[in-house]
Amino acid sequence: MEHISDIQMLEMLGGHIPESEQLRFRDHIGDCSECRQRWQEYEQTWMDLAECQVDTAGHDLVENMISALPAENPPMKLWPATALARIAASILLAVFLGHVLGKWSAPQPAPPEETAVTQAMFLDALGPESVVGWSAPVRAEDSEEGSTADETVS
Amino acid sequence: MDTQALTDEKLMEAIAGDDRSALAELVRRHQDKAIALAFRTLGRWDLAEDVGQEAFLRVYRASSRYKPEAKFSTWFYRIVVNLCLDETRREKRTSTDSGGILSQFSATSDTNPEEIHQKQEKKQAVWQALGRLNERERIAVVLHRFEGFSHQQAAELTGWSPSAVESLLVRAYQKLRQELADFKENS
Repeated sequence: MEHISDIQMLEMLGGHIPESEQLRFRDHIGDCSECRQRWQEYEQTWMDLAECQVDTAGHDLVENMISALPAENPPMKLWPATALARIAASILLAVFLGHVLGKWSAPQPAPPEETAVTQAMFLDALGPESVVGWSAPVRAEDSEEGSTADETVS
Repeated sequence: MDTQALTDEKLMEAIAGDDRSALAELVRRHQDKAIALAFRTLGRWDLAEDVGQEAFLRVYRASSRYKPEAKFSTWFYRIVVNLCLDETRREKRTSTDSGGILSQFSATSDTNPEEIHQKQEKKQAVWQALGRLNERERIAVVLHRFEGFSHQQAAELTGWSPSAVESLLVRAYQKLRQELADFKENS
């Protein structure tokens, strides 16, 4: 068997070598003086490092961690009914004002053009046959046969 | 919600929704390892706690981007290792002590040589030997010897190649062996 490499020895010390391979390595170490010496040196240093034990008791980061975080977002509050009522009233008022102002500022339809035709039509609408019947005394005044001023409009 | 029953990955999902109790549970689970790794690398408790706290803050800030395909512990250790490396570089730049971080490695705060027993002397010698390694060698040893990672796993979470980690470990152990052999010879 070829010699065991340094990293294989370190991995064996760390427990990262499968057991079957470990047995093979240990057999070789028993047979090979060079590998045995290197193995003993690594093993000794590995054990010496056990002096570097660390006790982390008393070093608690939880409290400091949580206080170092940004403030949590406050929970969303439900809007009170009065506030909702005010908002609804404001919206209705705005719609009403908008409607009123809109009607006021809307362009008015242009008056119909006055022509001889429309005048005649207008007077015909006031003729004796019409419910108003105004045109009779007016036409009578304009006629050459005289006035019928005594006639009263019925 | 019973956070203790949740996996790290499930806790991360909860933290992404700003669940502070999930974050607290995650801190409780991993703070010892984080602080121990940082202390063995940096040699000071105050720096170790700073690194630990900063690591968890980064976890919190990145929680919405965390992908559960990546194992949490691997990702988290990488953050701690990188913070330790940043801190050692910063200490090198700012330290006025010629011993740098080495002078911080002490197994006991009692420096009176008359009161240090042989066992304490050895403990101090081992700590100082560890402190004399460069930061990459020291991190490789801490991850392998104390955190229980194989050299492949250490490569994965540091981002270094497996052959680089292998070289770092072998070289580190050679240095440690030589230092401790000198100490034993002189004691």
